[in-house]
Amino acid sequence: MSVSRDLLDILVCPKCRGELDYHEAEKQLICLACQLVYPVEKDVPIMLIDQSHTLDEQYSG
Amino acid sequence: MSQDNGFVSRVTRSKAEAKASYDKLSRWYDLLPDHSERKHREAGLEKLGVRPGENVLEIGFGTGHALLALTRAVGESGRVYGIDISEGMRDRAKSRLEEAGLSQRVDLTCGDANELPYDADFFDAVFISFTLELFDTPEIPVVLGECRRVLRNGGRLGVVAMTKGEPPGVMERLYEWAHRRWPKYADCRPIYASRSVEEAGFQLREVARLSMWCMPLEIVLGEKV
Repeated sequence: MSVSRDLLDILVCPKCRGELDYHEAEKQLICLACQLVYPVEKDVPIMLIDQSHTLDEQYSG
Repeated sequence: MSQDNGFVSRVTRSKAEAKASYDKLSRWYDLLPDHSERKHREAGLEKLGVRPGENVLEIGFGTGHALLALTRAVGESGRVYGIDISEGMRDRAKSRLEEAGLSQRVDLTCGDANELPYDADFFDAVFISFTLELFDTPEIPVVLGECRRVLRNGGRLGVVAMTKGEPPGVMERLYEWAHRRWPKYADCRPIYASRSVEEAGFQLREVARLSMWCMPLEIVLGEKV
């Protein structure tokens, strides 16, 4: 189970409306423009800006 | 304009409080408000008139009752998408869809309708039932603007919402008092549903004024033109 192709085709960053990169193994959707990482829990993307973290936080922690 | 000069009470609880509250409520939600809301939600779905093959979004899917109905309506050639801020509601809705064998035809997202995480001009229809009145007053045009953004031209918006009476009745005044007194618990309140939909740039196709708990309620069908 993973995020469906149908959803990935229309999902955008809620902050900038830009494209997202889906990292299935890490269960993350990443907006490179905003440097934000959105988690995927139970196959459901959590597209809440205040529950995202930055790429800096991801790679410094 | 109404006798209270168009005043709509503010929602003072935070998004985090709303999320926490609906996460907790998700376990009992079907036993409490849904019993009263069901017939109006079903009437709203009927007015939205979803057809086979359509792509439909439900905002505030709660425990997933309308998702089931929408999935059956769009058939195997269509697809249903749902967004809700509560992860507790997500779990309840997922269980309901899995029990019905429909989970593969529905895509759920946790998110805020103030900033819908979907492409523009995609959906054929958007349904929002007993949810618009949970947003703070300045957010209502933002949410409706987001609905308009994600709908294709000619797409339909179906709204079911508690609506302000003109003049407000006893129950409405009591409800507004409870909303001010316990903003975390009585977090919704009557709004001007059809007027807000029209002001957001939708063409009103149908407005039905009904009653729930002796308070006015509107079912609004708007079209993106």
